[in-house]
Amino acid sequence: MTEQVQTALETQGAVNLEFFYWMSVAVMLLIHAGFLAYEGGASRAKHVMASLLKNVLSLAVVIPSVFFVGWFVYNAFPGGLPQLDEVSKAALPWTANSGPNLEDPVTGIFFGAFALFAATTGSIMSGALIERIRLSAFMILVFCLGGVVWLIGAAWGWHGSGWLVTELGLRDVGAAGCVHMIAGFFTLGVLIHLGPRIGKYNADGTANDIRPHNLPLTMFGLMLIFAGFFGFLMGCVVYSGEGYTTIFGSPTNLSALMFNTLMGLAGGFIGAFVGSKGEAFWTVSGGLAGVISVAAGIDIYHPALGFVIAIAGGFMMPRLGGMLERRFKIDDPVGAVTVHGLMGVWSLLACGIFAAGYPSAVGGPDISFLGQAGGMLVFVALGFIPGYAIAGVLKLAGILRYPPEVEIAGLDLAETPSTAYPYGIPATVTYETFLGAGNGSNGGGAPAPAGSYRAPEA
Amino acid sequence: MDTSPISSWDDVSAFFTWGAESFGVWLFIILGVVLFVGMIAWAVKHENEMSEQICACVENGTIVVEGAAPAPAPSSDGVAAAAPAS
Repeated sequence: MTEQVQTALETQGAVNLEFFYWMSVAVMLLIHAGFLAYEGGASRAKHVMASLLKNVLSLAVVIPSVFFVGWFVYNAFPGGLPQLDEVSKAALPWTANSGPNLEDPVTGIFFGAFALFAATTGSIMSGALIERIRLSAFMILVFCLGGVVWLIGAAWGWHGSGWLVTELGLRDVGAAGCVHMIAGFFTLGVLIHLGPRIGKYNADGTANDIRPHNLPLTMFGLMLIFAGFFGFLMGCVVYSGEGYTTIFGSPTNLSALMFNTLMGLAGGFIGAFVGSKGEAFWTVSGGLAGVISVAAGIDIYHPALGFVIAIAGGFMMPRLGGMLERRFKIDDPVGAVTVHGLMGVWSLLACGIFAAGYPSAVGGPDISFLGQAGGMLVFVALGFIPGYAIAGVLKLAGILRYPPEVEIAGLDLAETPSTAYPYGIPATVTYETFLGAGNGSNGGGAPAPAGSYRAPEA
Repeated sequence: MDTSPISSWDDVSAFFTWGAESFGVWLFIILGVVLFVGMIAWAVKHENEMSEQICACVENGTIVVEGAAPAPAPSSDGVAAAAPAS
């Protein structure tokens, strides 16, 4: 082979590598667009712009957080405690690798992929906190979660040298633990301090159904998230220009991931449809639950097994969500703790049950149930403890939640001069009104007076 | 302002403004972090001011909250008092 051909092949490989992750980042951005629509639709009309603004600023906060801090954290923490070696030093934001560099076609695109993964953690948390959290508190929480905490989890369990991988044999190809579980349990810690929305619970402890102001937008948002997941999963494999491996060093290809991504999506829908008895919000969320359920072993499951694991996840999800809401009084309007936190738990455990015995490619133990369970417990603690602690400090400082008057008037008044629907939106019939119960919501949070329903004009 | 760390494009590696570990890079990292923190501090201040204004408006009746007049005496734990008669 001549030197020219060799150079041409190397150049082609480098271009392919860069373009692969460039597209991954671009497609992953759909996840963020989807979460924006999802939580915008889930909010009541008086809070819509505050919810959307919060989601946009989540992206604005998380990207510089990863650049200034997070990329170093990921490269410094694989051993457990931070190490200042050559690799981690090269990830500091003032070094030659942290900017345009013709000899380094990798750092920029990997930074991009990790920034978008981080944005996903912020978006997961964002929807759960709608209608009462202060934007400033949210931004501080997003910095901590997206810029630091999830990256410690990624270094520990989503890195070829991570101690959970080398010591426990943890397998989590689709980031069910470091992204979904950590974001979900961090959110749970925040929700405990934040408390439910005003009017969510009655004095006798029963829960009210605060309906989304725009359920179609919410469902559309979830479909965008599903599209974005293909970019997310592109970012979960390592492409060298010559072939693919998982982050855990084992060979794979995109075809392997495609089987279970789609079967997981379908299985999640089916499980949630049955488990929620056809409730649309939970059914569409089931697709997410399905993909997360198969994420840990997404590259090795037979598609039929992935399908069944996803159905089980989708079936459990609405029941677990209902239990969190009614028994534990956790007001999570979008089910983030359940869909991401608890389905992440199921994903890691399912991999331990159904994929035990697969060898490690980096010299660690084989996949085992105990290894997966151990990793799961670490991710629970790593997500929950910082979320609970930081939200507690913000609450003590009096900057976590708006005063009740602002919450009742609508967060849009406090956050932004913009308004979502200056000309109003038409009401649509609720199921209860249709049955004559007269207990529908008009989107403003207050129960509609009995008999107030007016049929839409033709 | 001459910010170029290179004098030729031959055999270039890092070529960003000022070059690695330079005073210019440090200056703008610090400036970026200050602006980032400043934005959050500004948001805290803005929210405090708006909250005070809205609370005052609700108290003097300038803002009438739909479906919540008289206000349902909310508590910070999210438990609503008896629903207002409408």
